[in-house]
Amino acid sequence: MEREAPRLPSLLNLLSPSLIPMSRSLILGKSRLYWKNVFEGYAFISLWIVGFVVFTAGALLGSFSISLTKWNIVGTPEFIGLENYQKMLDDEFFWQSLKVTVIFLLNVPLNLALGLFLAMLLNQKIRLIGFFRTLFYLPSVTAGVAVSLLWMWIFNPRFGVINVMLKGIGIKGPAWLGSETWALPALIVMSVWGVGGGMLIYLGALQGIPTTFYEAATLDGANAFQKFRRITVPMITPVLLLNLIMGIIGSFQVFTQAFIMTKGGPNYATLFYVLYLYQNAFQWFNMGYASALAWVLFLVILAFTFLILRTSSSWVYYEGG
Amino acid sequence: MSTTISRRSMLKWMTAGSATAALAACAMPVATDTGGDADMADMEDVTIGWARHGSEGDVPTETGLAELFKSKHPGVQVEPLVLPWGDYNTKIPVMVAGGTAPDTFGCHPALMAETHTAGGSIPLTDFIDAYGADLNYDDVVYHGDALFDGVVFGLPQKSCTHQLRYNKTLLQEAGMPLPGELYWEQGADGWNWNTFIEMGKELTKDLDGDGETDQYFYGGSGGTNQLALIRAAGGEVFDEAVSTCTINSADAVEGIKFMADLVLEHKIQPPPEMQANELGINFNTGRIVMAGGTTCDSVRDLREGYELPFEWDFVLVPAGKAGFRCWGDTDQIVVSSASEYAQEAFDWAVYRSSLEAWEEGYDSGITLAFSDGPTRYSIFESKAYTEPLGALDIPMIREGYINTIPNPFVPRSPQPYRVLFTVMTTEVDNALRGAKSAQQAADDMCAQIEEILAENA
Repeated sequence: MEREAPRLPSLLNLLSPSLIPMSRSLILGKSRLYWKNVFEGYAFISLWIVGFVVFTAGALLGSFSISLTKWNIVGTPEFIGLENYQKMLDDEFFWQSLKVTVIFLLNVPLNLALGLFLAMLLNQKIRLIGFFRTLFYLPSVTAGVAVSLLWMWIFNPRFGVINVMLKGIGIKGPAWLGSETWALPALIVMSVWGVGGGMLIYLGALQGIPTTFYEAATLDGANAFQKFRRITVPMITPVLLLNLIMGIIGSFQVFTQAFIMTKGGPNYATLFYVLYLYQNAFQWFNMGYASALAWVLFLVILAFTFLILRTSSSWVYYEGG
Repeated sequence: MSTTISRRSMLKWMTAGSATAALAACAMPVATDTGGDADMADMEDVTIGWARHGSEGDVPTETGLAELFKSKHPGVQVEPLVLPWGDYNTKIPVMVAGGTAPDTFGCHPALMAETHTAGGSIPLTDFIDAYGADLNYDDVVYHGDALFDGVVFGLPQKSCTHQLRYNKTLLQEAGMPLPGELYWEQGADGWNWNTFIEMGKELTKDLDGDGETDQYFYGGSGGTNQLALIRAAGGEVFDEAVSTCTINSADAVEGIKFMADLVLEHKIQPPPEMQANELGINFNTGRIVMAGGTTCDSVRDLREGYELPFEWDFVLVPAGKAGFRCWGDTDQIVVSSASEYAQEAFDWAVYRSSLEAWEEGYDSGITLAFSDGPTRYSIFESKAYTEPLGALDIPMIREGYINTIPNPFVPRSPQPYRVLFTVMTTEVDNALRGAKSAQQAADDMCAQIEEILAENA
């Protein structure tokens, strides 16, 4: 009879399930067959590992070493220790870009709620449902540049459809992308355009909820809201968690809209973090500072993800354990 | 016959594949041997790389010129590499840093300064002296961009000035004098900020009577023309030592205020938030009477099949109290310090920047007038320039070169792109939107520029 393996640290479980059997064997000692299986497993993924080490991990470590230098690409990098990181504290544009990006995170709950709402609508048994599902999903696979150009038209203060509609009801619309106040909210509104991706995942989750739960609840006299709150929401929390994390990561990495539509303006009102990073790296050739910005972004995203995962045990329900 | 592969065999192949991939990825790049052996070089063709920024349309131009060059220098093959502006500005610096830059490559003023600082280009003064009088270096329109401490590091590839284009048809239909005529007949007395505003008020119109302006006089100034207007008011970005920001001086602020007034007070320029270009209100649609344009790129609208549906021409940016000021610069051809064929590369640079290349190219169907501005005064007289650009006032284009401040100290300042295209454009935009006064915008500009100067001190 096989002995029960000691419980491994949860972070290890989370990061790499493939490490688990290896760690167990280290603790318990295993047969040749076990080691053979381990070897074969790693052999199968070795191509990927090589690719990751050379092209991702190598570049990551490289960027960290560059972040410790002052380097304009053309010249020789000059080692300056942590100066680039220190410089961020006094860099008003760093703080501005961080502020803009954090405010933009407001799009995440908006997209989560709207995605779920649409998924529920599209989970009905009605005619042409396939057409509607395609229709709502399509924008999320449209190229970012094309979407940006389209929304520049929509937000045009003079002929844009939004202001024309507002004018129709007697309201003079704002300058949207040309307004310091409205440019960022406009981009948040625009982000809803990509709700189709999350919606599709919700739809999959909704269709995975056993109908017997709803039947039992109906027999118990539950109304629609109670079914939604007590059955639907708990059952889709794993997908909510996924969409939340992906949404936050995506929001921290927003670039195309700002680059195409506003160039970070007006007056830095849409200076997103990654746009500022790009400007430093490829327009002003502050490669050392840009690398430091990239590492800080990595750490911020890591911290957010870690926090969400830490709290997830209290609100995410996994069926079966 | 069984074709099943055993798991063991497959694993062996996978492991071997991984090892090969790892070795391939870790392999050191090996420089291409282009024939370092002198004897072999005598016998075989020497191939030199030549890179420039441009579009696909520039590839046949460079290939054709390379063929013409080869006919004069048998055994020297030039391999052109044309990259879009954005790619060029990242790839060339990386290649310079890595010691893998092409034998010769074009450098706009800022890249020229970066390359020089990194030791990526070699001095050409000795080559020029050895070449002798035939090179006629005195004929070159801008020397300043290539000079570092009196030593020449480049020969000119293309020189551009940033002027204004005007729609002759609209002005004539309105019975207005042409800006070119005003310039030639009265100089700064006839073509200045006041006449610009007066003409603007006449030609800014609501064409359909809906209360909204549909035709504007002026399309607005980009980073370089903003600087031209600031200079026309007597202002400047830096002092000559590039150690102090001077753009918040009274003169410079006057230039910024002039730009803001065009939008806010005189309303002859669309406000930035209007996104006028997206609405089709631009020079090419005939809904903007005057707009900025370079004498290298805008002339492409004269090519057969690309002509605009109206007549147009160039004029200098109107004179301020300091007179006429133009932005102009030259892309220089440098010889890479990594090149094994410096002499051949220099020979190419000489040919590529010569009047001879313009004329021989023109005779064989290559029109440099549509991509490269004249790099030498003699080119203004050549049929290779006068024939394709016959519809334009060529002496006016030449005037732009004369009125350009030759000292390229903005491109040689720390982070020139940031100063010109982020700091200046953002703050001028703030003034144009009325979000800041001209003085506030200028003060904020200086605060940012001083920080840049301090960082790079």
